[in-house]
Amino acid sequence: MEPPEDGELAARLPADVLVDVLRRVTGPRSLAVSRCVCKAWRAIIDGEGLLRRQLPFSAIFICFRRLCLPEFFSRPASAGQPAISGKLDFLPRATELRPHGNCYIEDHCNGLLLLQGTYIDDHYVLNPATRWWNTLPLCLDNHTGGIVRGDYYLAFDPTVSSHYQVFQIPSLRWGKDEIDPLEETSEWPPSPHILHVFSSRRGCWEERLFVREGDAAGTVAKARVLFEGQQNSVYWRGSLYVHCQSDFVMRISLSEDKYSVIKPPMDIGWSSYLGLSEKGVYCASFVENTHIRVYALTESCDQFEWILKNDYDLKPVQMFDGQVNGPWILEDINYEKLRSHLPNINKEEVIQEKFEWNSDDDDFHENLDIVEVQHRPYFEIEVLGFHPYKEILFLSRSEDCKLNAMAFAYHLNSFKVENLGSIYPTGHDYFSCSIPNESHEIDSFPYTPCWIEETPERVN
Amino acid sequence: MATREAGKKMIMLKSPDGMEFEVEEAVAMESQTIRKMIEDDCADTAILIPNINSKILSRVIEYCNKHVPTTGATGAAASDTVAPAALAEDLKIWDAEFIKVNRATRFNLIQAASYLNIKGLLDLTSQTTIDTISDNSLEEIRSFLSTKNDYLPEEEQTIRRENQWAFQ
Repeated sequence: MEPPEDGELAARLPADVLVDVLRRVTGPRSLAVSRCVCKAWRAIIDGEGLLRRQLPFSAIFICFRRLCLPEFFSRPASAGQPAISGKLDFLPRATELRPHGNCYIEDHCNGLLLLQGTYIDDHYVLNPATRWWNTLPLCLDNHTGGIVRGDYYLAFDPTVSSHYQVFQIPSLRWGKDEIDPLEETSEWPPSPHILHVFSSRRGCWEERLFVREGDAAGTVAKARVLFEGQQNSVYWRGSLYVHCQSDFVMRISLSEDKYSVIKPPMDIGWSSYLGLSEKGVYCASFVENTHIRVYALTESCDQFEWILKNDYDLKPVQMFDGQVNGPWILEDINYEKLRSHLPNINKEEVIQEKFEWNSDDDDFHENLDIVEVQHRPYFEIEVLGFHPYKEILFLSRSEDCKLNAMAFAYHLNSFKVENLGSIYPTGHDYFSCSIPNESHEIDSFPYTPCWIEETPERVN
Repeated sequence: MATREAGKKMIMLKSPDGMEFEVEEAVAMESQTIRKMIEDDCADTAILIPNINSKILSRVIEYCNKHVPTTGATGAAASDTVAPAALAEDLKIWDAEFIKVNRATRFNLIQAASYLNIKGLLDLTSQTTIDTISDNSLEEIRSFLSTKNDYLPEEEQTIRRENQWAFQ
């Protein structure tokens, strides 16, 4: 005889058994719904941090230099994962259309974004998945001499704490204008290094001293160079790795108030990109327009070393000659927002074909159409980012004003190249008035949504 | 059912309602909890399994009997003649039949699998519960699992707001 079907079945399970069951629930939506079932379930999901572990990689935020709002290039939504939009319209002031006002992403860390709104000095920390946001108060610092106010970088690990920190890393004024000769010969970065840090726990900026371990990068005079490319940071295992001027990486240990300088690889190319991937910190840099070199950072006994993973031929990307719509899709946020101001542009209907994005498989079988043509256009190739969990590099290819701009996935172990789709924003021609001659046109961040439930109080 | 064969070590399992089950040691060791007891020499005579009544315990033993690896020195002849894939397919069909029980039994089995630490059985029994969570609305989950909503209306409103994205 079966036991009777009486009430409160789930309540009969002891907490540790319920943990076993709820651990098996996959997909943030199911977990979020489960959280609402009853108090016991919420206590387990929050206590075990089950929602925090859901950080699937699903999209790349791309900030085009001449577009007002960040674009969102995403893979097809998979079962159990809610579709995420890159529209940041829950921040009406930050995304307000203003002449010469650009809303761009300054940094991304484990699902949180640091955003510069269209108003000057308007900074936000936000979570696009849960639509949570907070304003970042302005950092009131008094830098003098050759030091100028630097960029903001986020440090956030939802598996450790729901609190985040923002670091302001000073940089040096570049150019020929003179600064104090004594300052020119002093070492850079100094020790101790005074950094301004915002902590969401305390709700304010504070000055913190970081002592250097090991050598400096060089002198102020040598480090005072123009930085080309995207100045990224990676937050990994409690340390913030910041890509600095003259291509060194500053590794800041958050808990120990120390930092070290990691010198760039000897044979580094140009326009290098720092990113997080399968085994930690990686760097990609271009060599003579034809290759991209990828390094992985190794650390043993406080010694850091860049290990060359390989030189990757860019020919498969340059020579790709096909028209592909999808499987990844650009959300076309700027077009949607500006449509009423634009001449009548017929947006091509994107047909979702049978594509299944398979960069999560290493053994996909796709052959790109490579056609040898004598007079090929010259394509500009830029790094979009690293896949956060697999050794895959995302690249963009564009010609003349981003016409025909496409994204590619370069599988670093199999050397295979996959076309992901077009990243050409509809109506892009109308957004800009000049032909770009800069080598660096976009900033982009691979995005891992964070379904964190409790977030720090909003600062008003 | 397993029959007693020469050379096989047997273990006695006792349920709190006084029933005794004699099982092969290899079968009992499908449970990591029992395995540990045996390895630590805490299982000289009979092992009392608390909180699991005889009806559920007999189902658990039935599961372990079916799932005990049949290869190796103690193996039955089955693995020599049947291809592994076919064996796995057979097990899947058997599992699907095995789990056709009412909800109360299933929850008891989850509890037993968790206490006895039998991964396969826990996977199997939890999965149906998880499927319920994945495919249904909040009200359906509550009704299916007979879970009482112990939130006050205003508390429920707050928590739903926190997870609003999941309900859109």
